[in-house]
Amino acid sequence: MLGAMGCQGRCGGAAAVPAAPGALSEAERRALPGTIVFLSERAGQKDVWRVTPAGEETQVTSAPEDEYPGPPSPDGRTLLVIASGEADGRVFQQLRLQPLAGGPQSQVALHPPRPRARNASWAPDGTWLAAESDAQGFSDVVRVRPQANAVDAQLTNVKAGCFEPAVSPDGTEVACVCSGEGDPEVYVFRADGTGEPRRITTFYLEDRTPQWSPDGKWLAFVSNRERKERVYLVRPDGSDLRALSGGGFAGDEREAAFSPDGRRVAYVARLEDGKSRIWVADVAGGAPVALTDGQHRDDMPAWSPDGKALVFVSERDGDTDLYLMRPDGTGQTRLTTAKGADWLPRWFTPR
Amino acid sequence: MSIFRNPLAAAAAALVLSACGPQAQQNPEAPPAETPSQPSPDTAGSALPRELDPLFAQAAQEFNVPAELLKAVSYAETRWQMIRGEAEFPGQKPAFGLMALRGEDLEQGAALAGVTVEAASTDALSNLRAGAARLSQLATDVNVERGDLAAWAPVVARLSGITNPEAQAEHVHRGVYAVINQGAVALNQDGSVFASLEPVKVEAKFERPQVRAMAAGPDYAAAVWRPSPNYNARPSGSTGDPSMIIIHTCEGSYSSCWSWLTNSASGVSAHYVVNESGSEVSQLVREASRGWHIGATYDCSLNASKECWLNGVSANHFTIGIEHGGYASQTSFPTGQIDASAKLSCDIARDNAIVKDSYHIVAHGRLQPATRTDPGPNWPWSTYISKINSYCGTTTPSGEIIVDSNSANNDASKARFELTGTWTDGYSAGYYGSGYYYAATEAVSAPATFWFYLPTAQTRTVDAWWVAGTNRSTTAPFIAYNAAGSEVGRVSMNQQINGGKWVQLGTYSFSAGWNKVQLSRWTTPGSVVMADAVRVR
Repeated sequence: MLGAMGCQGRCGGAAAVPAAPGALSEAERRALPGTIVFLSERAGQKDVWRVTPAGEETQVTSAPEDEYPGPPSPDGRTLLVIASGEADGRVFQQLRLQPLAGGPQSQVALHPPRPRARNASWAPDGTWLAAESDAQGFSDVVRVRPQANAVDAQLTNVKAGCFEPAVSPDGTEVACVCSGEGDPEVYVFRADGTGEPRRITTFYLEDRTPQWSPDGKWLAFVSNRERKERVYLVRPDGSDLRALSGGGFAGDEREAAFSPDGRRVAYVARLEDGKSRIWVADVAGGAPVALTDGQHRDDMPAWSPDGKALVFVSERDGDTDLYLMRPDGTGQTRLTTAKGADWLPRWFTPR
Repeated sequence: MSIFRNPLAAAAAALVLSACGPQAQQNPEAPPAETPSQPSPDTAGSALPRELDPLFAQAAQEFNVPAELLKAVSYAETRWQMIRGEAEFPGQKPAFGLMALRGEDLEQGAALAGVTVEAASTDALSNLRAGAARLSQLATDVNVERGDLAAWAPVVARLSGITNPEAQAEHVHRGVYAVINQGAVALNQDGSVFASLEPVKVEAKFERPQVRAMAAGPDYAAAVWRPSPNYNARPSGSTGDPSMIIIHTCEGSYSSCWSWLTNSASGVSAHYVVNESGSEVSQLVREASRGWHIGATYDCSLNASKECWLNGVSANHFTIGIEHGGYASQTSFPTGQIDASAKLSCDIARDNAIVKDSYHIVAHGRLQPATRTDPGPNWPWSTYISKINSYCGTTTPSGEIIVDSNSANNDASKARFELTGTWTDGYSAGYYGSGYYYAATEAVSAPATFWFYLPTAQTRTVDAWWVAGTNRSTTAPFIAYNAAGSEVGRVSMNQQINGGKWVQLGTYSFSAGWNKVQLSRWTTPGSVVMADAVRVR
């Protein structure tokens, strides 16, 4: 509704100001913390690169197979990388650790290549990861130690599959999606593998992609229960379920990202013609606010560690590149410029 | 119509990113499905003009090719979309542009038109000129009477790249010349004409497709059975039990697709191919057999028993593949094609007990992200999945209706929820859908009403769901009414027990129209009644 009514003066960024807003100053960019890892296709294949908010770029991986940036380890020293390739007609995926201090040769593979290994999530103490694996069944959520040739420990054993694990901020639980009853539902499993899983959602349409808020008090997930894709919030005990955008639905929603303080969620709403727009909503409720103007394809928002900026992907200048903006949508600034797509940003503080 | 986009590995996003949904997808409607596209800077000029007819006319005149023919070939191949082809089958060159030119045709056409291969691949006019030039050259080779539209048929067959004579005949008569005879119009979003082809009555001078009665597919009666030699047995055990459906695009036309997939030299197949309009489906491989549609076909017995740990995890073992005439770079898919494919997927899922969700009906690109992106970012995933569920009677038994206490969750065409008097929102865990309502018991007529629509008079069993608790009524009154408002049954339920699951209320005879089940609060005071959800089965 907000989108259809032109934001009612609530839009940030370009929508509120017809002319392009001023870019972030060099000083403001230098004051932003951390580093942003992203997927770049500038070399014609998919490699992981990193860039500082001020624009200094470094290549992180360079193997001939495609490499996607996964989540960084909690200590900020290591990046999880998902490699994906095809050899001798066999498709494979492989979780690898990429020490940020080391070169590409320092990579450690966690397991032999297999058809599917993905959606990894770190435990907060960095001693294990949860991931999707088909090594022992169609799709299980497994625990794996961050070391070479680690042995998977199955957390789930559901014939129709469990997917998209997310480790709770305190490391005691793993939220994921299981399809046991004919449609995907959100469950929470104990991280030590004991006890019965706790069912969070019950509805005959699809509930997917659970993510914990930083304080562990909410799970965000995407559901089509209203026959449109929408981001919902629910307590980790299954209570208080509601749509994040309240009455402000403006197109199929996806790519939700909690702010570091857990008070807000940035997300993307799909528009006509493949365009998309970034919004932000308060977890406490209230109308969502548009951060980008909806004239382009703007995707994949990710917060800076201090919550004072967002990085996102846009095609506004003809190529697919990373951009920065303030959390109110102002200061939209191009960050990467290399020819070839740059996408999948993850912003964190390295050690 | 809009400019074409180069889909990135849409699937790739889903593969890595915990924040992405199940399909790459997503999303277009598919959500996850969505990763940014990357318009190549070099193709900026390929932004399709708002009107194609002058471009067709210019290219046709320059190379002395009938404009109708040029338009019809383009329509049959790409629906007048500027496609950027990708490899789908080993040995088949990717196709480009409005004319879907590939390989030698692309190179020769570009040379004859005096443009680079890059321009002929990515610029609309250059692509049309290259296509016209190539058609003209082929016409000269076989001495076509250029003024005779019908006489161009062998040239059309040649340009298609199809070698199977039956598929050539299908492509010529039911593809290109059918378009010429029927005409076609495509509009811009504002309603202005994007491209048009006036119908011309003409019979292609080309052998007609065989008139033999086509056999129905062994697993799907609505399919034409065109058996492919390219299959083998699924492995025994659970790894050979079909548990997923893989959605592909052919990166070419329907006829060329089934022709290639039934050619023993190709070494590839799919279980089904759905044509562009949805008017025809071919079955090539039995569902019980293992098709060769996804590039992971390892069998260690063929390789000195090396690396047998990979056995049983080939995606072909446990999947059923559906190809679709068209391209991963398409901006949209015809509604008829999506409908036909959804009906097919419903049938496959039902027969093989495949879960009908986004984790089991997936993009080729999701399972083979290193080298494939099909069916691309614009495959309408959420529409597709919901159509499958709708053709299969939502998720579970056909005709089941669920009325949730959150109206947003209900399909308004057959379920709605209404409150009379004051009820309070409840959000304790264990509810169905999103939350519930509760009210204190007292002697008032202020019920919660679960409405449901039946097209005919039916006897149905009704269940209710509530969150149990110690302050709940042990005699919560549920009363069923038919569409005329007459009571057809009532029952008292103990809401202190059996929470968080469906509890049967009874079986009643309802009438055609909007029937209802009411939860009354008129019972022993001092407790609450819980209105959460009702299921009619």
